Amino acid sequence: MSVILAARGLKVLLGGRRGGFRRAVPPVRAVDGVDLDLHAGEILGLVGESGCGKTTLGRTLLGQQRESAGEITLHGSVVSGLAPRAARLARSAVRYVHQDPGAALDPWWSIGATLQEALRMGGITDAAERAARIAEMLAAVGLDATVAQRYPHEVSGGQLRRVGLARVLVLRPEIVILDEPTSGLDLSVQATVLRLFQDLRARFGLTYVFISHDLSVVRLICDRVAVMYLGRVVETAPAATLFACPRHPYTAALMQAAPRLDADGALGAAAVAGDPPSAVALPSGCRFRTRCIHAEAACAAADPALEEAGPQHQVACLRWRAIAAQAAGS
Amino acid sequence: MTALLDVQALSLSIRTPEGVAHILDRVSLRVRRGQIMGLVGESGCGKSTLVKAVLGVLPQNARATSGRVVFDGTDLLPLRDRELAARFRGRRIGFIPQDPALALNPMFRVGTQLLEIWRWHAPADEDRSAAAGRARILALFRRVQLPDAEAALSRYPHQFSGGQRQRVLIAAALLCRPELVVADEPTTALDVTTQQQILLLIRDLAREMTLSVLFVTHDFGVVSALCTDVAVMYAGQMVEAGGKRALLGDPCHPYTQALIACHPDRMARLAGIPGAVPSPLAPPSGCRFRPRCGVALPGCAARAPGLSPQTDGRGVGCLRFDA
Repeated sequence: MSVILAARGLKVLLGGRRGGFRRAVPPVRAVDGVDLDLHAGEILGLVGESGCGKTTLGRTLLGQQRESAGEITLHGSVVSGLAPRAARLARSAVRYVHQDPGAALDPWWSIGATLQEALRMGGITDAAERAARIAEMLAAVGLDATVAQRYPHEVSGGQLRRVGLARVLVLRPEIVILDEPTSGLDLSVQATVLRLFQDLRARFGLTYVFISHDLSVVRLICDRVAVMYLGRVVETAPAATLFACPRHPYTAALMQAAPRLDADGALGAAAVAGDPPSAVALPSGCRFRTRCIHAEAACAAADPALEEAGPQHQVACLRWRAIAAQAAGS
Repeated sequence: MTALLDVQALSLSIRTPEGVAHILDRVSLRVRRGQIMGLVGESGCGKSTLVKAVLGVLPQNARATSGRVVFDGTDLLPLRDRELAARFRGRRIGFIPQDPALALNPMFRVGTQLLEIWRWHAPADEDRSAAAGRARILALFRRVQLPDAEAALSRYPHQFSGGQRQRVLIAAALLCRPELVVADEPTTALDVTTQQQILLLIRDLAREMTLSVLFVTHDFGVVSALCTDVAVMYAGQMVEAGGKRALLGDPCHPYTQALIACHPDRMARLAGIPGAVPSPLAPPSGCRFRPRCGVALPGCAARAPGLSPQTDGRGVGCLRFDA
């Protein structure tokens, strides 16, 4: 599988202020040294708790947020280090679908007008071509052509997701970043929307970055998963491998905490205590050690990098071998 | 055992500019002492309205057309608000809201806000003084594992994390020693690891204090982990209610079956439920799931049976299961 989009040592610092006459304010290290490969045609799940930097990472890959350090390559050529406008232009093959499609659409514009504008901004000057593409895409996302005349408040939540998707797909992207694409949807609607994602991927040869905190959905739809904690990717693996044998204590804790539909289900003991530390003042060494049940003195000293833990499986934990051996022994 | 909360064939409609919306249609629900009842349904199914009816906080334009909401032998519906507040709501019925950030006033210290609850709702046989209230709040803050409970009293809501705020509100719900706690999706705003901590807390507190809990959620995973029983609603009708294990393991009603089949943990193939939820302004006659049901009978249009009891103790509101 070929790598279509890659990030190396990606850092994004948000806010902050240098000292001088006024008090210095340290920045938030929203993304703090992320290495990530996106393979053509896959669905890569990006999971983690709120504040872990999943959305910032998505926006940075898109070019909407400027990276502070690191390199992003698209089809092998470097597209990072550019001014915002140039960055978006270089990455026009990457599109982003907002978490809340209702908020992303102008309530005063009909849905057709919004789709028209997306195409005009995308440089499609021919009106006939625009109309054809809109008709094609509305049908592809399973909406009636009359939806184009309606306004955002006149359609349901599930239909709004489809409109949000149609709005980026008319521009024929290769990579679509879906930010919490199923949050707030009812189960029956969620199922049809997930189905739509799969159908569209097959039909248009798309690659998805699927940002979500719903592990059940990620397990079902994603090919590979990257787990983030406080601005860092701590584990990546094919979805089946990750859910079968998570290596990082944080991944294991997340999976243990996520409730599953199970007639005999019961609450397990709390997997981690407390809340994540602030992304402004990170702990030394491994950033998960303050909540990790396996942490040792060494974890405070060294900041672990991603290392191979199996085929396509990488984990950033100093003690993963010891923990795995311990689990196998018990 | 008699039910602590017994909603009997409650029908409720709301006047809107577009017409009369028939929000609840002969809904029955029983919660016994010590039960943790999960109330599940998709948006618009009427679960929030049912909760509001139990709490006595229905909007002005809502009207119960038939049925009763019986709490420990007393029908709450005819009670005046003043009496409801003095004897039931906040006192014997506690409430944990969905969004802990919205439920607390940002301008007042949490200790002050909880003392206010104590002053208004404390049981008649308890000392309503500020000192007694403070001691009770402090004990509860320790029990819900708020770090540094003493100092927490004089903090403002923004000084807590989301999980901690939810702990403050759980303490507020338990302040006046309620017998029933109504929780409206109390963990949807939280991350999974925090959610797990809060669910564990609710479970342990319910055991400790022999609380009944009515837990509104749309997450079958949460139901699996926490609840002893489940009730499923669709478009204002109760379609199935029973023990968690039986209902999740072997759902009877076609809607419950379809809904559980849509859960990502159970999905054999990616497919939703065809059709859409009907408008409450013009609901279909009889069973409201009928237009989307694959196994509807001609009789389904004529009437929707109430929950009819099955051999395993559950109730199913479907003609095919009607004795």
